[in-house]
Amino acid sequence: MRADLPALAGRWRSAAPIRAVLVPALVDAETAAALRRDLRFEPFFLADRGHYEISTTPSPSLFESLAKIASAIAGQPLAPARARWLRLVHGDFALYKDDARTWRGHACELVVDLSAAATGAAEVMFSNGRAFFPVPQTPLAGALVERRGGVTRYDRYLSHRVGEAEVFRLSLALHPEDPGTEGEPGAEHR
Amino acid sequence: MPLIDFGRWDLPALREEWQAARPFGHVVIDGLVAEDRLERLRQGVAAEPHFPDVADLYEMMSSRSPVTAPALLEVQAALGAPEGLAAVAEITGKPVARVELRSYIYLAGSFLLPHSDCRAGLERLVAYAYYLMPREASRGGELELFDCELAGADTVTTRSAKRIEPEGNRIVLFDVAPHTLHQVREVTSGARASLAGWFYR
Repeated sequence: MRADLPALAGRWRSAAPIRAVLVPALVDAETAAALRRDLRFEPFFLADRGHYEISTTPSPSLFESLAKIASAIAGQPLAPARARWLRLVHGDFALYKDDARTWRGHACELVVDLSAAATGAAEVMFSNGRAFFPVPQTPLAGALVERRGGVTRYDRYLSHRVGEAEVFRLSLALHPEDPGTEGEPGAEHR
Repeated sequence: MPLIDFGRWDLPALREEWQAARPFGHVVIDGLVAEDRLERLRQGVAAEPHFPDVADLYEMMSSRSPVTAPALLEVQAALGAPEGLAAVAEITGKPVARVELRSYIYLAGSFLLPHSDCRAGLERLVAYAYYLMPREASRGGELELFDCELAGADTVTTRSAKRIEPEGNRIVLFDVAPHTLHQVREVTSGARASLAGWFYR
């Protein structure tokens, strides 16, 4: 982790109207490559929700280290609550409706891009209904987003412009450290 | 000669086609306007201001509603005239009373992802899309209809059931209901121009 955490924490405190910050270098290239190689995905398709591949494989040590980074930025202890790995290619997407069916009111979300290359597209878009916070598809980087106040997300449709590229990303739900209030990491909600 | 000659439509046959259509009611009608009127409509689209329109479901260029180009207003007036509404009502069995129209341009990379047009309180009864450009002007852009199974408000399964080519001078009428999922597949090259909207109660 090479990010300047105090600077990110300062940006987090002043972020508005959506409390969110982009976080560089959340994982190293070797870790991302190993995850791309080892994770096993299942196809998901409901036309009015999304088209993508998903995995809910737990990775406790990675989740804990990411939660520590998120805690330092948010200024409060956060614990992993749920993880979804997505793999997307040309033609894939996840709509607000998919988020509404899968998100369970956790306090924060950490998005981590594990792709091998940038596509120049495939952003994750967070919105509170009035403003947007776009998360560019930047390998090894991501964003911490507070999901309170009706903030929802969608994963932009991957058009033909991405070619043969594959986008891998982790959505890690985080909640204030208070054991027993939310689900275990890896628990899936479809 | 009217812009749209509804007298040429074989309404009983179209009604049968609507009722037999799968995965949900729809009809495809070619040659909506006389060929010599089509070019004026294309010029109307070119004259109409279009703006980038982006959301989770779509990325395309769309006009405001109502449109302003006289040629496009003529299409709306023809569809919304008593003969037009009567024809659509007879085909669909739905008591349509007015029509709304907007103009859309899909350039390469544009799309409209699967959704139903059903919105509480809006009283949309029938959707339509009218294509203006020759098929060879673009790749992709087909209207795709989905067979879907609902459990309450949730979609349980969805399956692609039919793709309709956006042939020039073709209008497609299709049903509006919670289960009538459809999409415009991504345009991968060229430009696709359409006039589309809904017939309302």
